[in-house]
Amino acid sequence: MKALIIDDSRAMRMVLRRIVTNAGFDVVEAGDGQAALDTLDEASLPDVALIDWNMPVMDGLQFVNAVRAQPAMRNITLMMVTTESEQSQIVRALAAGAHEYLIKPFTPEALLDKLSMLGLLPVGEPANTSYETESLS
Amino acid sequence: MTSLDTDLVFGPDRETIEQIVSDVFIGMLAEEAAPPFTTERVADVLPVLSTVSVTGGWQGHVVVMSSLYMARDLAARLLMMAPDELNDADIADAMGELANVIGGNVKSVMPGPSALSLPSVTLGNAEIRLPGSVEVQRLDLEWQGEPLCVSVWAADAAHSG
Repeated sequence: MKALIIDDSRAMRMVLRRIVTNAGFDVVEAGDGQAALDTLDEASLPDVALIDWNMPVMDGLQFVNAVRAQPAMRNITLMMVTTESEQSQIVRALAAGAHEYLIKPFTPEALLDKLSMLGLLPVGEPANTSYETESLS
Repeated sequence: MTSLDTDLVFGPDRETIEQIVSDVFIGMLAEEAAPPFTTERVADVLPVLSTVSVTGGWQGHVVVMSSLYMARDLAARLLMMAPDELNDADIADAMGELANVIGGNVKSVMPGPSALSLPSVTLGNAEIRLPGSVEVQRLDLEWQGEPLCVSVWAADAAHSG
């Protein structure tokens, strides 16, 4: 499984990276929507994109719209990971084609639960969150 | 600071800010609980100042202010780097994201629709300068002996022209 993490904060990309890496994903990162589009290679598309909303250059909603406009990328699962929690914003993102929505701050378990519900955790790979104490002690 | 007229300016209650900051420490920093909050002001000016602004149904700012040691330690935890490996951009990035997350959650409990700005971070004992706004909520804490303060400022229509 391959995850594309799109967030303008390197710190948040690192938080997300260590959660999904521990769950068995390979990770690619981008600092905004345009940079993420530039990384997308049709021969090796990610299984899931974790997308911040508020970013410079191209925001998360614009990225969702851009991906959904390209049939070759229709199999990428799109999950917004953002502080935007107004109902209207959630509806906009889902209507644009996002599959899931996770509001910051979140626990590792919350993200893994969403990935599991989407059928994206590798088979036989338990949701390992032991990194919390390993990495931060 | 301008005097507060609660008919014109308002913000989230203290319990809401405490919950948001607790969630940040538990969710982002993998702490078991938030540090104890204090009702005393830990400082008026601190070296690291991170601000996001909200415009729309509610207008105001959320400011996260901390010591440099605290900011460096938070950044090191988030980036999984040794504190002495961090540069100013790393610290600004981490503190900006903290303000972004706290500010986004403050926005969510205030009248909308509204938009959240990208964070602005200043390193080096900058005073909070938000013309036309008044502080409507403040939360102070000490973590490992170092201060951090979250304050919410609301645009004051009576004083902003």
